[in-house]
Amino acid sequence: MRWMQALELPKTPAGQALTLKLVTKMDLLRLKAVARLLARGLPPEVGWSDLLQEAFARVLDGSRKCPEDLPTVVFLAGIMRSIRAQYFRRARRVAARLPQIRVELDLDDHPDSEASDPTPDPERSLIAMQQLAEIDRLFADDRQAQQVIEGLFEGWSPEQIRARYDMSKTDYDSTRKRMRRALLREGLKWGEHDK
Amino acid sequence: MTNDNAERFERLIAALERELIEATDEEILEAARDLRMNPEMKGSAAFIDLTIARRWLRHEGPRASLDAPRGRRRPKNDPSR
Repeated sequence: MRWMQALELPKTPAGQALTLKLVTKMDLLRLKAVARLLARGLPPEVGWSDLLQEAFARVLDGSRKCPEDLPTVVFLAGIMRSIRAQYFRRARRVAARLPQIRVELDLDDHPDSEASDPTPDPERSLIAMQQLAEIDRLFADDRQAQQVIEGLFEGWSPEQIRARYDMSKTDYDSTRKRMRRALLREGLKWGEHDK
Repeated sequence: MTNDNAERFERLIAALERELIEATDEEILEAARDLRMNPEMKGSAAFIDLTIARRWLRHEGPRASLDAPRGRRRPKNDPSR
């Protein structure tokens, strides 16, 4: 990559953090896979790269400080999770204001019908199910991995998952290992900043 | 379809996130090798989209420059010629 150095390309916040040795190369790849996972369900304009770089930018500009007893990877993943949650909160606020906006713009004759909708965010629910199907597809040839995914989706403990699907501890652990490998493969793909 | 699905999906994402954070360096290297990348090599492609600004990669990325090693080609009717 000498030609790149010669061109003095602008570094991203993640690139700067690597130069400053705030993270190791392996940590950076680990965080890339985490960013790709956490970007699932976000709209296309918020890509995994945005999540990752914004997290590093907040650390570099000092707005977020890593506690001494917390591993940097865990801290940065936490910031990305927080950015993701912020997005969903903002989207909920906008959705909650929509009926009022519609009334103000005189677009809706019956604003109460939307205001009393018992499913305030059906779109997010639908996106969640689409994303679940995509994750499931990563394990299309691995029935046990799909069972673990299903169990995690239901919020079951490892013991509950093993009992439900009659899995030995060895089976469960090797399934988790295969899942990590598949998730890492998916997460480390080159490019596709938005996917 | 209820919001409960979104909450359950968040639970799944959190569990998978923990798996990725706990992945060993060796597991990361194995996955990278599956993708024909060698993160241990200096200048590995594994880091390009992490360390080089996205704007540059999108508009003046390595492919464009490598295709035109003596600089970016300009169209014949480029007024700056």
